[in-house]
Amino acid sequence: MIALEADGVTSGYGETVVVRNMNIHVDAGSVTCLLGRNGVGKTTLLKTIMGVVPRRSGITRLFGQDISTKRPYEIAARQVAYAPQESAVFADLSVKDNLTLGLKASEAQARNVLDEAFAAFPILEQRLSQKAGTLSGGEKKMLVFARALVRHPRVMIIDEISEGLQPSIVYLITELITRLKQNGVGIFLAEQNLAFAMAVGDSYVVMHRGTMVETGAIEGVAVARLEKHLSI
Amino acid sequence: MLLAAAILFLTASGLFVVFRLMGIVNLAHGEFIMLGAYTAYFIGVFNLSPWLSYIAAPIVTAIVGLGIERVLMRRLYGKIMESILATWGLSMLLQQLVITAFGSMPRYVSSPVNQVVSAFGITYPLYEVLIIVFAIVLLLALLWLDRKTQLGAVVRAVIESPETAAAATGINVNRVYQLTFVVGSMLAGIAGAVIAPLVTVTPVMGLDYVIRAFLAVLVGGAAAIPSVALGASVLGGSESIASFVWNPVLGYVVVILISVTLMRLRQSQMR
Ligand SMILES: Nc1ncnc2c1ncn2[C@@H]1O[C@H](COP(=O)(O)OP(=O)(O)OP(=O)(O)O)[C@@H](O)[C@H]1O
Ligand SMILES: [Mg+2]
Repeated sequence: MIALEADGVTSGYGETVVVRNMNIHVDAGSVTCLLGRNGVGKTTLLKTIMGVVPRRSGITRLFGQDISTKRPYEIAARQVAYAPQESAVFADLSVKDNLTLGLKASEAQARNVLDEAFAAFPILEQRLSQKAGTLSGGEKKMLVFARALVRHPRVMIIDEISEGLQPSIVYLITELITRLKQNGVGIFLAEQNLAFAMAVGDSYVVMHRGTMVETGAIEGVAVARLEKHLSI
Repeated sequence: MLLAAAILFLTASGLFVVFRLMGIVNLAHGEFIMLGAYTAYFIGVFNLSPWLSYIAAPIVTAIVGLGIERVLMRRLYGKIMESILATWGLSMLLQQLVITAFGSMPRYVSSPVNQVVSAFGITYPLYEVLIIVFAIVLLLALLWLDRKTQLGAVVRAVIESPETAAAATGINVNRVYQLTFVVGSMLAGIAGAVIAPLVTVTPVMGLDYVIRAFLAVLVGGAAAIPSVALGASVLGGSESIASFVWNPVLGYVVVILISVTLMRLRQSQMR
């Protein structure tokens, strides 16, 4: 079953078109990796799918349903969890508030949410009442991932989560993603860390200057072939 | 002096909550205060308990605020210049509506309590003491809402990043804006009802408050609730001292001079 689909999506900022006629699809229980160098438009495509960046043309679908005209919070409410790339934690809020924000959860449910987050990243438990703005870069990344995880998504949209993370944490996230896949979650992952992308990914899409230049299955693809798209 | 600070904080708090969240200067804020004061006046006209004003006024301004948010404010979020122009127009429209409906003659509202209290050999009207107490309670309540409740966390998240709040945590940002605008209107309504017994109620009374409130917000730094209370204290205090020593016009000049100086100071600190 196709969990997430973009069909001929074009978008940008003001006059400038950044993403041109992109087609992607993410199957339930699988990971599609969006690869490409800095500034090719990966984040812009993810934000367009989330309804944050206005779409010029094209259609986005969630389990076959058109979500092209939905607002960001409406898309999030359809169990799409988004882990943004930059300034993604609420610096002024505690780690606890960051995790439970927007969940209409009772005290007991909030407790479960926190336990789930700690099970994934034990370090967060020690930082619970600390302001998220004072976390280290890596801890912020863990918080962003945990915040998406505890929403029990059907689809996850993850933007360069491995950036700046130590290998053991990247490994932890690899395991978490593998488990999410087994539970049927469809994951769309923008990445530049090829080793990580190949460890978790099922298929890939290479983006260059806003358009798709190559796509295929991760299994059996030559590393050099993908590397050439990522190196300068 | 404390009274001036308390009144300034009461009249500035609604302007502040809207400005902090949406970056909008609501120049019609003073007219919401005026509507609150008129509500108190009509409660008196109908011989109802004056205490009822403090419930009726915020309800009236909440309804007006909700309507205005629907037709006007939601088109202005994030647009500073447009919002200033549009709310300026709105301010005049509300004044004219009230003049047309109720005339422009001054109205007076009687105070719900007329006792006096004495402390340290000086007597104060009880009502003024109650205003100061109410301002402090309101400050603490706003602080509690902001720091300790889920709603406060939502508002602070939206201030930081409306985009992330919506996409990553599913918050309906426009709803938060709407709610905040209504709360700002209610705060203005309460403030209007509270000050009504101390002032002359007229359709144009709002202007005086909106300017002072705006200065208090700017001086306070538009960042945190306590700093607005501080801004209100400094301005309210210095104005009443200067008015007492010299005259009200000079008092106003002093307020503006202090505001400009403090804003300059803060700017140079930031650099
Ligand atoms: N808010 C914005 N306004 C205008 N242009 C923008 C905006 N955000 C991004 N861009 C431009 O869009 C292009 C694509 O940016 P985008 O962030 O999508 O790239 P990316 O592939 O995610 O890069 P990276 O790997 O560095 O994260 C860049 O040229 C960038 O300058
Ligand atoms: Mg990016």
